[in-house]
Amino acid sequence: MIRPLLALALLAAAPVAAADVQVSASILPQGRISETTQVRLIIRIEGSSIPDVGSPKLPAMKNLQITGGPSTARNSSYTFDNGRIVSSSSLSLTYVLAPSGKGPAEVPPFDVIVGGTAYRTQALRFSVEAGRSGPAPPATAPGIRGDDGGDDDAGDASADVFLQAKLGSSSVYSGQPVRLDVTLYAAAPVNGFTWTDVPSLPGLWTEDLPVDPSRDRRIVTMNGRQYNAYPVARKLVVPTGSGALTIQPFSAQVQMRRPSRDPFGSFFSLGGYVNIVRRTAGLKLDVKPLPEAGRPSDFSGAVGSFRMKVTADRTAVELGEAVAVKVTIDGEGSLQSAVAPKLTAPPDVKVYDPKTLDDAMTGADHLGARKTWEWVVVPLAAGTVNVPAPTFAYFDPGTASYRQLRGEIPELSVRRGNGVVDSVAARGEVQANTRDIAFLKMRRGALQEARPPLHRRGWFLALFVLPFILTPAGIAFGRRRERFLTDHGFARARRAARTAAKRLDRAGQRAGVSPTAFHEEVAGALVDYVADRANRKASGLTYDQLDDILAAKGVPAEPRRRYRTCLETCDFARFVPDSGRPQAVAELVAEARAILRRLEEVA
Amino acid sequence: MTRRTVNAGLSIAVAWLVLLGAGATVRAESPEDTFDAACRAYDQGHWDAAADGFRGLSRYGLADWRLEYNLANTEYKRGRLGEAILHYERARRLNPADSETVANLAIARTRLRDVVEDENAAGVLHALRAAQDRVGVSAQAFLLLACVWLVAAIVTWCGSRAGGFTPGWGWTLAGLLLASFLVFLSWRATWSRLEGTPRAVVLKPSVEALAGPGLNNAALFTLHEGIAVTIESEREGWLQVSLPNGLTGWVVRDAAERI
Repeated sequence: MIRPLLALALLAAAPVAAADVQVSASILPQGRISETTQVRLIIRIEGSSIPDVGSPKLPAMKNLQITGGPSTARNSSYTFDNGRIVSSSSLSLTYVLAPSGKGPAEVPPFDVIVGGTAYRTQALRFSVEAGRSGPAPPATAPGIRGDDGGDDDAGDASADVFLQAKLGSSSVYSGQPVRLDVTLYAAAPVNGFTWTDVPSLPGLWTEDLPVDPSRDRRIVTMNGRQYNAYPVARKLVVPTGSGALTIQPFSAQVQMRRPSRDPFGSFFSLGGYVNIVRRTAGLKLDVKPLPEAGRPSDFSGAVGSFRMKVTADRTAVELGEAVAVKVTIDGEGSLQSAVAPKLTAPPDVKVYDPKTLDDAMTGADHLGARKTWEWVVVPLAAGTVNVPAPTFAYFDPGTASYRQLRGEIPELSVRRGNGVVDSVAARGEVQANTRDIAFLKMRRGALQEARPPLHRRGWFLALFVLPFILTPAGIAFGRRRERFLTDHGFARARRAARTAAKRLDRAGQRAGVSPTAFHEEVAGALVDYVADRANRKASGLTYDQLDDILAAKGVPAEPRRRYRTCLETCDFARFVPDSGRPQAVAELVAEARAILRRLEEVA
Repeated sequence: MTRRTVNAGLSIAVAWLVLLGAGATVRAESPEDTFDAACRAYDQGHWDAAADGFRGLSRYGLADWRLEYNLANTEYKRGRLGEAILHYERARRLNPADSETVANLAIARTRLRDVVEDENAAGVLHALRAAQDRVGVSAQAFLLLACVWLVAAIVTWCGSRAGGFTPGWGWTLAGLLLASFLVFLSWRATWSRLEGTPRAVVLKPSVEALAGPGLNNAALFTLHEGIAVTIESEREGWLQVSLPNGLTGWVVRDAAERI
């Protein structure tokens, strides 16, 4: 796009004088033109000066396609004629055309606008011959124009290049794979390669195979010449129907180095490059239909020669356990449309749908194929289980007949195990098809009224606080109880008042029976009380010792005096039984109780 | 027959008619009868009658999780997503341990138009919260109470004896105290999430959250029916709500109902 604009800009700068402008169109090369020849359409504008030139609109051409251009070339010259300067200019616009096929070709007349004036070119007609898609004839030496010298570049060794397509077999069965190779043969080094036309292949399933022209290049000799053979395309084609199929030509543009005619230039790799279009010949493929006769019911389209391998991951299982059965089909041919072999399940065996583990092309030429399927088989009954052999049908092109493979699944020994069949595991876990809300809650018991939360209810708070109160109390109680059990003095002191009170009660009961016993009991209560409080032995304590004990415990003098008086009264009455009045008994008991209370308070 | 007698008779007749009319959908006497009748209506696909029956039980001052659950189911069937989620939330608050409530709530939430990512609820924390919710506030409170009593018993037992705090009892007590503390934290967090934090569910098809409590404030974002929000504060017919992703705005009080 930039090039024509640049040309037009240059032209725009030219002086405006279109009086002697001439416009012509021509075709190069002049000689023989083949399908693979690059045709150049040259529009030449000449004159003393060339004004503005509009970009010509080429008409629809017969058997020709525009593949490049326009490129421009400008030339100016000045001559002296009788003392005056005569200028002349020329402008060439060049388009690159490619023949669509052999046969007559024509460039109709078209207008070229120069300085606002339309100049009409003449019609150009020529014939396109079939192009060469093979090696040059033996008589043609490199650099010498041969029979195919019609090629514009045929005069160069670089022109000895051709593209060749080849099928592995020209006659195959439907579904039988065949390899298609496209190879570029060049007598001189190739600098670049670009596909210009890769035909679609109707009626064929194709898969591109990896190809590396540089790595796989080999040298071949054809018609006495050495060529570099570059594999440029490799396909695996599988006919999907039957009948005569035509594979249209592949075409590509090859860039090659043009040898310099100068030996020094040749030595230094001078001479430039040339682009050459090359095209393969069309190919015919005869596809034979698969015979109807003898076609097995389980035939799924596999064509070739195959083997079957059957394996089971174990043959001894417990009831409900799964066994993985694998069937592998491999061999030469196509398994593209093959489906899993048929595995019929007996009533006491659950066979799940197979899954494809492997699906690959094999072999160096990729004409092999391998497919592996796996079934999960779950025996549902104990004992010996025989799963029927899987079968696989295919068509063998070598014998033109159908064949059936039959594999043997090893006999399965099924133990009862723990006697429980995990039906869920054996038959597949139940899965929900959809989700919906669960049903209502039915009432059991009365409905509950609104209540404050648990931690705000009184009983809960009480239960929560209670340990903090009970713990100190419990500790205190426990410690006291333990001291009672371990500290005898403490226990006696704590029990002293209660023991004394009981003895006084007992004394009161004896008062009417025996005054002596009464007074002994009262005196004993008083003495034992002090002895218990002091953890001393009661027997043998004198009045003075008792008084000392009480004084040591901080008892004031007045209670001590009352205590001693009461004790002396009792002792006196023991030895003088009739010395007291009857009402004195109650008074004595009351006095003794009062004294003990007082002692409890102060001691 | 005096005129007064006639009027009294008419009043009684009208009252009976009203009662009969009310009972045309769900005729019941006790709350339990009404509940059962509403369940039957639901079973027969009479969603409106079932909803009327379950809603009528509110006048008895009931707070039964089964009632909230069934009402949520009914509202879900009626296509009232906001009401359904509101009552599922209430049922979950009353009985967090019921798995069907949680499952139904999750199903209802799949129909929410608003998707709010909770940045804090992911991974372990999410699982911990789910476990806490399943156990529930009351059960954790009971567990805390049991821990406190156990600690008190051990302290009492060891403290009431000379040399009672042996290393074994000491470690046991320390473990129990730690467990009590953790249970307390868990209970507090669960209570705060389920009951302590005021939440609401949007019941309107859509409501705009404004920058302030007034229509003259800019609309910050739009909430749609069924989304649960946290109530931050209230003011004169407006609720300040926040979302788990941190967005905060004011919505009209009528647009949402407290859980």
